[in-house]
Amino acid sequence: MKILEVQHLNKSFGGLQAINDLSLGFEEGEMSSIIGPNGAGKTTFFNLLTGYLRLDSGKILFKNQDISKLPNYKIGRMGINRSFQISHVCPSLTVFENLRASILSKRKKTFKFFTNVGGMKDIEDEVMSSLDDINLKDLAGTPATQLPHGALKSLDIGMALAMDPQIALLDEPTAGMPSGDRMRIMDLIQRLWKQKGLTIVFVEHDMDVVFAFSQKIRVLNYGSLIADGTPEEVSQNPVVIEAYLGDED
Amino acid sequence: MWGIIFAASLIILSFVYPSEFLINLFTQILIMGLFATSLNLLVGYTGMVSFGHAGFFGVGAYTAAVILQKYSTSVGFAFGTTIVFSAIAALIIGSFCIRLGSIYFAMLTLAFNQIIYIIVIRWTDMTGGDQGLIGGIPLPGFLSTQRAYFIFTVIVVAASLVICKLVVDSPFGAILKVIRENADRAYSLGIRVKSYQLIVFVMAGIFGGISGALMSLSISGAYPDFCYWAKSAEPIFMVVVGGMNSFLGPLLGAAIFKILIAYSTMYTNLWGLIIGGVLVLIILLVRKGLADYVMEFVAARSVDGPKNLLSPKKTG
Amino acid sequence: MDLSSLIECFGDPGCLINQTTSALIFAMLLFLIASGLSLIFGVLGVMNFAHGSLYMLGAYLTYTLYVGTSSFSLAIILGCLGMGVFGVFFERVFFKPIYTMHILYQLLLTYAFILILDDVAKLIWGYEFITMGAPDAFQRPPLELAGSFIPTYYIFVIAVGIMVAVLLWMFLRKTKYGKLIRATAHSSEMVMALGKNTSVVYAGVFGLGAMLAGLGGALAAPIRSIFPGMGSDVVIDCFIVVVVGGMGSIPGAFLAAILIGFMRAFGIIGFPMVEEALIFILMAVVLIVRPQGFFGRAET
Repeated sequence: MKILEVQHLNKSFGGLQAINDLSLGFEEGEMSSIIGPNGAGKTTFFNLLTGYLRLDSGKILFKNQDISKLPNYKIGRMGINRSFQISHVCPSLTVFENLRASILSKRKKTFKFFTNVGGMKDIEDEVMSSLDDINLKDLAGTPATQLPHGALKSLDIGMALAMDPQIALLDEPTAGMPSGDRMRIMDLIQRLWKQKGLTIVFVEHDMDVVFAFSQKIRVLNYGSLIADGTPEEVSQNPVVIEAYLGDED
Repeated sequence: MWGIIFAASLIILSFVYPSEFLINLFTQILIMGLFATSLNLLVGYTGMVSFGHAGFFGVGAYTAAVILQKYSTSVGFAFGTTIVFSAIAALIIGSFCIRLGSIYFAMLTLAFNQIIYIIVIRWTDMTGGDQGLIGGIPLPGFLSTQRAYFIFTVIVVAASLVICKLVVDSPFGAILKVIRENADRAYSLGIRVKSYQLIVFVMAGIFGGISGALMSLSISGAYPDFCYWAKSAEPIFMVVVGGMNSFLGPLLGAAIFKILIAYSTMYTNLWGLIIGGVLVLIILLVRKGLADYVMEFVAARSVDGPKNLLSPKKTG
Repeated sequence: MDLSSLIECFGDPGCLINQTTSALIFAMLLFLIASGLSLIFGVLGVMNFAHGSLYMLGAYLTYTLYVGTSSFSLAIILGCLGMGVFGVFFERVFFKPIYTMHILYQLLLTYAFILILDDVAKLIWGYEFITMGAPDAFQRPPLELAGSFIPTYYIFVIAVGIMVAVLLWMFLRKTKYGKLIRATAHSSEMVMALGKNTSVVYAGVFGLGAMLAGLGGALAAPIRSIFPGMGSDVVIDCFIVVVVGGMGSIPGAFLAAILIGFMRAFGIIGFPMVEEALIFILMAVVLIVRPQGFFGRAET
């Protein structure tokens, strides 16, 4: 079953057509990637899916329900959660406090006004176990600003995954990392994907990462889908080779 | 807990050392401390820089004063009405202001502040206009002495601060900090940022109103000056000088502000030069409130326990 | 509300001319001060609460120079130059460090200077209200128009206001320096990348802004009372002009100042209780509906 599907999606900025009549769908339980040259519309696509941008025309269906007019926080509540290309964490809050935001929101505990949040044992346990999932347990008390880049990325991803999303959209989870760290963080994502039975879509530039961790690959170019298939199919697709893999860099 | 001890010791002190000057000074400090703490819910905890908080101080001051003077009701009723009116004002003003960010938010709060000021100036029948609401505010017998009113103030302020403290340490308070740090992220976690901002704006308005009511009753009158825009800068001074990352920072800032003014006006009329100079030095040189310094010092000395790693450093 | 008086005034040329003159006087002074504030905000990105105090200093300075030299034109010119120099100094010493700070500190620092400059004025010029009166050159019979009299000094102020508006607009549009200023407002990184020194632009713009506020003060000196604290009402009016006209826009500031001048002059007849509130409501509505102002560029 397709958990998330878009039909004839269009979005332009001024005169620039960022997304051009795009139709595709994501299978439940799949771990897939979106690739494409810079400016292909990948981040715009994520922003549309999560309500951070409004589409010009088309449909976004989440479990067959049109969510294209919903505000971003409602989409976040429905179980479509994202991480950001440039880390979006709370810089002066600790790792623990950052992740706690996800857990409090997920457990619908945010409108409690007179309970001491420090005394909520169940919340604390859940935060710690989520931190354990992303290997940040030892850094729980560290303010996010003091984290090394890799840990910051993990935290950003962890905040999305701690929501127990029905589908997680990860925007360049390995951006700015040395290649050894890239594999490590992708291993971690893959492990959580299997363990929790998540559906994951990620945007990525590193082809080694893409081919190692995707069941399906979608290739965007100028806002249109030019290929959709298994890594093997995509790597042999002449259009892709022409448009993208051929003149990489 | 600490609050009760502190409040009790203040009350005892007023008996041990009954100086009228000091009792009056501490009454003022407590009132302004509550006013600054209420503003800090916005500025320090949620990252909303309001330059119109004096508007709510004025609403509270005039509501309580008018009700007691013209309708001679009980003090409890007057405070109840104050809470309702400040809440309504904050709800209306807040629902417009939260649509805007940073400097535009500050400008819009300032505009609403001035609208309240003009209403006060022009609604002469009710407020006394330019002259202020003079002629005294009748208080029941149990509040008629200065010390009695001081004790009343201690209790009201302590109760208000306890409520504020509970809220900033609650899950709601935790989310406020997330909004301050990264509102964009909060949305993606399913948090409707505007609702939280409006709720905390109304809370700040209510406690701003209560502090205004305490003030007008303490000086037995209400004056338009209470809600002139420049008055909105005073709690900002207290928040910045006292420390916006510590719960009691603004109260400390109020004490510094009031003591500076009380003593500098004994020697000179140029207190503005002193207050302004302190501000410039703090902003250009340290950019950190006194209480924040103390908290960081304490935190740095007790960092070794494993508990500190687990439980996040309390910003409250 | 008193709409019948308003209609009556519209029917009476005397009243109409009186109110129009006072609207224009108010508008021109407001424009001079607010255009400086708008430029500073547009380029430096800081809302300067102390801008009204620069206007106050301009008025005091002009008064002292006029008493000293007994030449009003010399007093205006020296007063403006003095304020310009003061502005450059002020920007370099106190403003430069706050550009990267949180807006809380920016607002509070500029507010602190209201307190400081007010007290400095008290120290130098004392606590009393000073009235300077019309300069000798303008001690001549007022102009008669449809039965009402307009002092010649008023005409002078209105003429200067319009002239400055045109010159300022041409300066920003047509000259090399003007283009540099506008480019800096748009993107200071880009200007730096082009090898231009943005700190010179910042200091220059602040100096120009202070000079305009000083000119406002100089022109106001003969017709307003001069006192410590005269800046704090004015600065709020300036905020309204900047918000309504659009941050950094000179034509916007000009039109907004005129709009507010007329709202005040005629509002006081038609809606004597709420005319001031109307202006703040206008500001609030503009902020809510179109935060970048009527002539402002939308933030991207």
